[in-house]
Amino acid sequence: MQDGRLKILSATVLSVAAFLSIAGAVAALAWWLLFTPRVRGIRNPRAVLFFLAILCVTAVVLQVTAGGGLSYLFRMTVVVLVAAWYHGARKSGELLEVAVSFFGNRTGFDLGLLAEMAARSLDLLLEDVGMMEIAWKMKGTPRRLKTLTPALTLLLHRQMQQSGEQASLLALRGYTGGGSLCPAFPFPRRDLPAACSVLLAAAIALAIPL
Amino acid sequence: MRVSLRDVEIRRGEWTLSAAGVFGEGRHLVTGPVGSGKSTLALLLAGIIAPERGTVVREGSGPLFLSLPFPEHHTTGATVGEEIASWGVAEAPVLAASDLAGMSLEPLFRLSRGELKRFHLACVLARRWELLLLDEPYTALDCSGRDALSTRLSAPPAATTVIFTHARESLPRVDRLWEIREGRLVDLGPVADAIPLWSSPPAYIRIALEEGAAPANISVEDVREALCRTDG
Repeated sequence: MQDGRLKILSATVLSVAAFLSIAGAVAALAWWLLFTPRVRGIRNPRAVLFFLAILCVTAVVLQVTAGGGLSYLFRMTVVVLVAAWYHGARKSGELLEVAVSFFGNRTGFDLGLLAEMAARSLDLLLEDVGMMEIAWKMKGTPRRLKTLTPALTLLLHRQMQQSGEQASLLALRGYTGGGSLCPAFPFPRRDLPAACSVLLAAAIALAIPL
Repeated sequence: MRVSLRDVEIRRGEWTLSAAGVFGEGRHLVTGPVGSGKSTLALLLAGIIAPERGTVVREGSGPLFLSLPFPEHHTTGATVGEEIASWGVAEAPVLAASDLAGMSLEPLFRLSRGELKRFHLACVLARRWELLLLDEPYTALDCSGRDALSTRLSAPPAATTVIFTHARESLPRVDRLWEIREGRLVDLGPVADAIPLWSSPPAYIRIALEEGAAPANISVEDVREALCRTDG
């Protein structure tokens, strides 16, 4: 899917559809299987596995205490898969373009810039965690809470420093709010079935509330 | 330790890096522009990643270490003292080498980026390695920090040391020069013969070569000495 607006709308609609009902989740999963590169499109498989592990624990607790754990696990797994697809398919600068396209050059630009910086920070954090694992392997440090805490504190501190530097840079360049951007979105014909199928998944989720 | 790269090729989408050569005992300098593949090569030599084609052979035993560009990635202690203890080295020499005497209880996040880098390198260099890979060791250091590191790295190592850098202000004495050119690692050879073959030497070396000097090595002192000989 090339159009950034369609991408984000598809991810939102499919996530809601998957969360609403099992039928919606099946439809969203079918969409994920048909129109995405599937596992190959996941940029950070370990992060996805981490989220799935948390979901499994929550589902077990839910199943034991109130029931419905399996349904929850299936629906949320599909939500995570859709999110993983969007994370892998998103291009740098796309959120800014989409926000400007939806909300204009004032509010949209600010929201888009914020989203871009947040997404970039998330990517950097994932890179940092990967590099930390390499560094610890080199140092022969076992993974313990005692060693993880100071490392994460330092990373968090670094992220905050970077945010401050980024803010200063924006201020130095005269940024006070809003901007000027003319986004253009390609829409190849092959994206049409994928876009229509998103609407179908949403319709299924609303029609079969199971 | 000796590391041989036999017709190695690494691919990342459209980007490729091919390499062949032997990193024997001594000091090696690998240069190349940002994004040329120095860090990837460092990960390859450390055995963190495997090549798509070819083989990497490590001969010899003993500890190897790869120092990453960002010192934050290596930290596991909350304070300066705890971090030194995590490396299993004596505290006093490290504190002295990193200008942090009396700051053993200082939380690491209170150190500036340059201080943290200097401190990290002091911890690394306090231990004995058979293969030491330093990826961008000059990052975040100020002028005096860079000069001090070059002096420290110019001391004869007891093992194989490979320095990957795009730094151009201050460099240590090395035994062999390597350069990454258009996706290929080029072994320029022993340093004295290699300097004239270096396609993008630092400005102080380029100027010296233009003046007709023939430096024996790449440190600022060596180049200055060669220029003095030319003038004399």
